[in-house]
Amino acid sequence: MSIDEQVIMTAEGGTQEYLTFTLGNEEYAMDILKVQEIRGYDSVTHIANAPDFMKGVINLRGVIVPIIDMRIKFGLDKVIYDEFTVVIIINVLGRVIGMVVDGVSDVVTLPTGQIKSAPEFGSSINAEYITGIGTVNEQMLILTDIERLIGSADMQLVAAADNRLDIAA
Amino acid sequence: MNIDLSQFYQVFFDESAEHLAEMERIFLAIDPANPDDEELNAVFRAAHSIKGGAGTFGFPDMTVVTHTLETLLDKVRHHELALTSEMVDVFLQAGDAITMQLAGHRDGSAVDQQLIEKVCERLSAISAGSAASSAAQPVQAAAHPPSGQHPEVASISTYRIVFTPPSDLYNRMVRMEPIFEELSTMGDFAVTGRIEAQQELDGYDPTRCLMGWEMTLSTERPLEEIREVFMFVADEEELGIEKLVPTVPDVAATAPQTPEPPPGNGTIMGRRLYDKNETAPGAYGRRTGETAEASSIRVGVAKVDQLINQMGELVITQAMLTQSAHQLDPVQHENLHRALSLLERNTRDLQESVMSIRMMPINFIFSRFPRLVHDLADKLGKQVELKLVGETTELDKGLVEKLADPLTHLVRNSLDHGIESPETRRAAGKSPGGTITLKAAQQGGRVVVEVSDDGAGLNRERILAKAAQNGLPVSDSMSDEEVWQLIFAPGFSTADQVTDVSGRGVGMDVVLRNVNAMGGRVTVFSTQGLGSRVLISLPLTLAILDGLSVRVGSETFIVPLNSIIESLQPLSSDLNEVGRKNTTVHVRGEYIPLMRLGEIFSIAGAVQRPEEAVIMLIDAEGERMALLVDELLGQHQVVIKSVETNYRKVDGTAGATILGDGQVALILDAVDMVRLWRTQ
Repeated sequence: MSIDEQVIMTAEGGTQEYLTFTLGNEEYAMDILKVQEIRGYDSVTHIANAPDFMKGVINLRGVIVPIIDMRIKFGLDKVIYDEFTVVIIINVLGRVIGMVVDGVSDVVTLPTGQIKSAPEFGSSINAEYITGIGTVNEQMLILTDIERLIGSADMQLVAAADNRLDIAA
Repeated sequence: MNIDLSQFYQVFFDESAEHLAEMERIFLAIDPANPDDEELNAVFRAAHSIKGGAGTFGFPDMTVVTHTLETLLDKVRHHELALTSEMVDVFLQAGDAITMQLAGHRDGSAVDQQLIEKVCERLSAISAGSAASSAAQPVQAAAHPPSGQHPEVASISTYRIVFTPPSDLYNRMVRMEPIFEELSTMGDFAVTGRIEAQQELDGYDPTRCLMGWEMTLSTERPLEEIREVFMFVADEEELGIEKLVPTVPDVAATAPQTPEPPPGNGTIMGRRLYDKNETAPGAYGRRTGETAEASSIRVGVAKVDQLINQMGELVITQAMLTQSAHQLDPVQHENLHRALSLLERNTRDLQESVMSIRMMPINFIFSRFPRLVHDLADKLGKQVELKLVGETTELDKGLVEKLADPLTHLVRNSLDHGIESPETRRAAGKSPGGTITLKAAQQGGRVVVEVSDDGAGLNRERILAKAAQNGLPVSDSMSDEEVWQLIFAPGFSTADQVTDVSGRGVGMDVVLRNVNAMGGRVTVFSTQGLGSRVLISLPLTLAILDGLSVRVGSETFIVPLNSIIESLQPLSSDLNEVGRKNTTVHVRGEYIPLMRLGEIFSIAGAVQRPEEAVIMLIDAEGERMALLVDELLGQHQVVIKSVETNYRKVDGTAGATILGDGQVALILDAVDMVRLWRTQ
């Protein structure tokens, strides 16, 4: 089944596949089509004068990819880097970006009808980037709009309009 | 025979564009009072080639315009008509019309038929005018058959063609029958064969061609067309074509616009016809052109880019190998080390060759400016001379193309705002004609392109007033340099009135943005009343650079080799504290400010005492700075990778690269780093 067909099916009220990941005690899910690969955490090259959740850049088969740590971004207490630390490489907004999460659990299929709208609640991820709530095996899943999250201004992943005058003279 | 011609369209479009550019270049350079025959021939050939191509590929509209153009050009090159500057203008317009048609066929863009008709009318009018006026002159105008189909052809003449092929003719897959057939369609044709060399039947090789042919052809087509038939078969020396006594012309009439045919055709025909000597320069000229063409091939840019990417990967792989080998005992693995150093040298050579494919002379964009300046100066009523210096400077193709827009903006600005009107110039005691200079030169690892004019220069007061009006933070105490920077603010324009040339305030900020995007920098110099200079400094190539890797704390950085002057280990007596934070280094009588790389990039664990570290003297566009690093690691050739593809520009860096161990290292940009250091 091609991606197009999947999209059509979804639009017709079919099902959609999600990758679920954990941040602290919360279970999140993102559209699996945005995921390029999942890999372990390797040493990164630090970028100066960047926000602390911006861990740095890595070499992903010859491409320079920035790594952001979602745990730092969302203020989780426990941030450890060990052999279980997982990086989800996602492909959004024409960019390849790695995000560090606590763990990747599963790929789940959710019927579109089962997705409820999200109430206003204090999850780690701002409600603005949550598309809905799903239930799998009686466990709550918070569905995120990863594209909007990555593209948001406070991620500082996309350079702001550069209208400074301080060019090198 | 049904061949899908569309697959060749692109070639035709490319070639026609080249021909048009060539025509324009010649017209702009030509001196109407004393035109060079060789150049006129070159223009004629260009027009003729476009016409031929357009006919072949079925673009009749282009054929019509080129044909009219060619007719007039033919008269000029045969000195039947003196070249005037008015003609040159019309020729340029015709070139534009053809370019427009070409774009129409290629991109489906709109074609202004009225303009094309107007151009054709003007061309024909000049052509016809010449026919009428030159009737009384000894050198006369072309006689056209009434149909107007071959107006450049006068009459029927008979040619004797002798073709003496080399003996490997058949091995080259050449067959004579189609040639004879084509010739016979051109007129009365007869051919006889003759044996060139006697040979015994013993050892006779049937694949060798031992004969020659003698042909007679009576045709109204020009000699050139006959030559074209043999184009792929015969070399110049194998083919002899001579004209026999011309037959009496059948009909002689001028172009349809001229009602009366010029009298006295009979005697004049001889001059009009193509005799061998007359055609020779053109014919030989074209041969040379063809040889040049055959020595180059057209390759898609995507293929070249792929080659360069793969080259980059190879450089990285080679670096990885070298790094691994360094851990081996040099005595035991002497052969491996020798082979690796050979590999390094070969890789470097290969890389240079590959990069040179993408390099092209900056003349590619400079060449469009003579026309732009010519037209704009006319429009603005100014006298401007354009000087081009260093057009052969080579630059990465990608950069050359992206440089076109910024340069156009700068030249337009110079013309519109810089150069004054002749009256104003005279009043200021300058010569009435202004000069705009476009200069390119390589300086180290960068190419500096300069646009300068001897006009009025930037007006400090007006810029300040305008900036204040636009709500920019300004003060009268700002230095000139700071004031010039203001013109790069978006939407900034000091022009009193908006002209269609410039003044809409989209300009300098676009220039700055485009140049920055290429990894370049813009610098403005100006002296009121004497002119202004804008320098654009660009990296030579976007792909690979030589760099020195340095360590600070646990991080590795690459410093481009071309910005390093020297490295030294300072003595504590050479270090002087300035203020609370700053330090200067005393090097051979000069006090140089010290920047700590560890501080600029907030790296933990960097060596604090300069005496225990290494100082690199770097050149930041003419400014000397000292950079403190922990350790020098080694010299590498690094492949520049964009960080912006997936992230955004990192301040103080020019990109990143992948080291031999697979880690990413940031490449420092000296000038940007100094800027970053100053703002901290």
